[in-house]
Amino acid sequence: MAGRRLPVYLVLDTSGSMSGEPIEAVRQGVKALLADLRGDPQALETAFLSVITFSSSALQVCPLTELMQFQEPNLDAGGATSFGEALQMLTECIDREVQKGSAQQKGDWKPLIFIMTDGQPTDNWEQRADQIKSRKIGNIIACAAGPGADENMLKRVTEMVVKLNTLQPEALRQFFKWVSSSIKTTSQKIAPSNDGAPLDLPPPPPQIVVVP
Amino acid sequence: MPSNVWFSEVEVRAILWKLGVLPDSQNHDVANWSSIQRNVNFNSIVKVVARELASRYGYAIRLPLGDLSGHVAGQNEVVFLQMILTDLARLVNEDSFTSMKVAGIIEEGIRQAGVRSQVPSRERVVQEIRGKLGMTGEKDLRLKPWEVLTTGLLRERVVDGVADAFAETFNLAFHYRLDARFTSPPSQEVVRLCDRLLSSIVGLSKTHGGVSERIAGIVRQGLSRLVFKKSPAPGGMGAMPKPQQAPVKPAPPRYPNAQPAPYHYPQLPSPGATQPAPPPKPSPQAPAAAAPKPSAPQPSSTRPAQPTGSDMNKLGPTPDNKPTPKKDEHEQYAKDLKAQEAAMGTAAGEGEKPATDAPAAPVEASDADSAELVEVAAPPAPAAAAGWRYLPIPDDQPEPHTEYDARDSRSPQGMPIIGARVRGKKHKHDGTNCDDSFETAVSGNWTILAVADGGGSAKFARLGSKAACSAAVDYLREHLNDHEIKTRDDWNDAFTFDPATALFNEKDLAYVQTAMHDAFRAACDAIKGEVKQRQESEEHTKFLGKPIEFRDLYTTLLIAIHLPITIRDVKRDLIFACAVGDGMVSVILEDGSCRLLMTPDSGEFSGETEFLTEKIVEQAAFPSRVRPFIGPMRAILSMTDGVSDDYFPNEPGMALLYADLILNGIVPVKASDEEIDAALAATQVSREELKVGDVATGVERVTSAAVRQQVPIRTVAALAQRLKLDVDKLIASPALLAAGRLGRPLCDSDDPKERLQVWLDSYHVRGSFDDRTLVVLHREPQA
Repeated sequence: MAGRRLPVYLVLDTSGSMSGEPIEAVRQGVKALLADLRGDPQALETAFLSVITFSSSALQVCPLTELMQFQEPNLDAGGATSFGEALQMLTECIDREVQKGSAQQKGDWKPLIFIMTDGQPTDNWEQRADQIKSRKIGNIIACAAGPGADENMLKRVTEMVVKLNTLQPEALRQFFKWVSSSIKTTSQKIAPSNDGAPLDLPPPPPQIVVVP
Repeated sequence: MPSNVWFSEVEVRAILWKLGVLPDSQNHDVANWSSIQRNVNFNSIVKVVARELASRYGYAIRLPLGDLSGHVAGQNEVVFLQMILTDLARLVNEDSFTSMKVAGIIEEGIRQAGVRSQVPSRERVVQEIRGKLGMTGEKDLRLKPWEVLTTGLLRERVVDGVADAFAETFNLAFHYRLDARFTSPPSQEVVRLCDRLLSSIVGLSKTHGGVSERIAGIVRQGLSRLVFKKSPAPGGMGAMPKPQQAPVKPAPPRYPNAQPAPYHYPQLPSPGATQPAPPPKPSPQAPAAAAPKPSAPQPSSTRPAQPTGSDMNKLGPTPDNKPTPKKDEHEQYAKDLKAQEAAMGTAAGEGEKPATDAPAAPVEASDADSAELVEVAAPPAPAAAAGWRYLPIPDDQPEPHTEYDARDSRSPQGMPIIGARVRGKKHKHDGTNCDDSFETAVSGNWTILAVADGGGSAKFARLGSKAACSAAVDYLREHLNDHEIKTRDDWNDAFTFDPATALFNEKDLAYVQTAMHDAFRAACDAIKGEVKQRQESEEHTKFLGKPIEFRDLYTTLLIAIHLPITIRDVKRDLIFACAVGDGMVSVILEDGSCRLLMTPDSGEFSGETEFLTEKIVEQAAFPSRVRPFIGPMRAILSMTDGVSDDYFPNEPGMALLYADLILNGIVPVKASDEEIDAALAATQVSREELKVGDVATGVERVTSAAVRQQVPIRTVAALAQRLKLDVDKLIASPALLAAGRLGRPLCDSDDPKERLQVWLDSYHVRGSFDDRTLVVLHREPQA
């Protein structure tokens, strides 16, 4: 009678361009996200969090862990932007960690994936993006952060792309806050995603622009 | 028969290992934990150990708050307490959740003290106390409120309340780790909190070499207080298991003969450790009473403060500032436990002198002590509700749905039908409406059951579920009334069907199938009608921010119908079920096993389900959804996924569900006392023991913002654990299930529908916060 989990993956760009204030803002953002979610009883009972970072290579810095056990990762910026490798890593982690439903076992909620990047990929990513999109491995929300990010590239991964026009701490803070409220509202029953809006996300704050 | 079973060094080591104080590698010989647990003294010992440690925690907190100003603490004592506090503060800072919890504990302490307008503001006071305890990094403590707090009797009450609430959390942690208090697993949250507290202790013991020995000392002292109460009489042991005789290895030396250095505060390595530091005795009064302060420290005793039993009862460290569980429950439970222990001859400390030479434990086991020991075992309150709010149904939304619905009736054959629906935890938390509905009816010889679960994302799902249930039931009532099923001697081939239409070949059966299909169409039309009626409604449009449409009323619908039939003079039941969406319809057979009448939700991911739409009811293959069943049934269970998900996998989950309904007194079971005794003979547990110490776990039920009550919830899992039997065996045995019903009832009312409602509203499963609806048609057991 184990409860259903809501797997949440944060896929974060830690390439060199994020160094300095932006990465600090991301650190604070993750911290605030955790604090916020831990105050929410539903999130506490359901949400499991994982962090995947990518720079010159991709790394799952935190495996899928329940909120109370979750240890904040050390995030350091530097290196290239191996976006393709990050997508590969994401697929592997989801295949490994997320329970699929069967008659014998209750499946997890559909994973909720937040991808944030501030730059252009430096590796081959197109094919992996197509794979992820066609496999529908979860509800993916991609965030193009800052002026250097390419939102059209992200559209190849998911329909749900948002844009942050700056990498200012306040904008990043708002982003993580929105992530948090999205997580809180996600574990409820919905009709299969082929008939319209797949996710009933809360409206994003003004700093976040939904890319049509 | 009084018994003097001892704990040998092996057992002490096992206890320390269980507490995580000894590393695993040192203790491979503790596999006999279960036999240690069966030791009649075990529960009492754990209580003492936990209590001792807990009181030290309470003491550690009183000291920096200045409560012990009359006492000059010894150097070692201060160091020890500092360590505890540092550790606690570390724990708190690391983890915002724990921090919240701590704030809740302080709040609770203040509430207990009845502090109102005399002090600046509750928030301020909480902040001050946290600051004083070193839990916040704040340096700018304003001393003024603190002075207000520290003058007068207020401080004493507040501080006592806070310290005792902390201490109780610790106490609970030990009981949990040693499995001494929980008959069924506590909520995940309690587990987490306990683990964190305990790992904090283990952390201490690793960083500071002396602490491990100190904890061992505490365990030993706990043991010595109990074990050596009576002079050892090795020949006179009862039939109780004697774990220390089981191992082949030479009998280890026993206390007190091999008493190592006993627990003593001054054991801490400290340069100035010359005098034993006598812990003072903080006021043992209940914080609500204006307690006179103890005038002087008592140097003759090395025992730390013993918080009063009544304080220790409070398991209320939740941030919601919940009221203390009803006192009489505790008293009743304490009485029960006392009776139980008395029956086992182990009531701790009946005023006998401890026959120990342990210098550090000159403990006079007073009557007060033993009373405390018994009282401390208040039923645990899994912190299931921590963080979950209660907000009433909003009055600013159109067409609210009642919080509860519970109804009963009888089938045409006189079988009881009970149904109930409760608003889910999430809806209570968010202050939104329940989305579930149910409806039952009889028609001719038929019984009709319908349940529906409105989609969580649909704002007017409650209207959809309600309309769907009543329209479908109305349709079937009208069309089944005089419909007769042919008498058949052989049903083997009755359900062959035409692959083109999915309809049964037999006309009378195809009629039923079509009627059910049409009932779903009627339900769909009814929802459309509801939408149409409100399309012009400003109220609804305003609330939705758009005109109402079908998707705002999305709902599932599950229908089951029942008809008694006779096959060659044998009575049988004919049942049809049909469903759109998730949830479950299941038949319980006479042997207690279950058959599922729909496919359990097995989508790749949870949370995606189909809803009743025109597209689905007009599918060509829709009639194939109608599932027939023939057999001797004990019951039909029809439920929304709020219940079926909690019993997953549904096979055999539905059988467990029915057994839980029996255990919680919702459906009856027949077994005489003799039958119960006979069934229990194979177990280690007697009927009397189950009467005084039942298998129920207290679960918090929240019925309004102000009311949180403890409901004793039984599960087959807990009963199986208690009786050390397989769940399968339990389910198949009415006598064992009847035995599991002994003790405190679920609630005062013995009305099955009310009990069903209370149970649905209370039982806890992690991650389960949906509305819950369950309808049961069952055959009463024959005398």
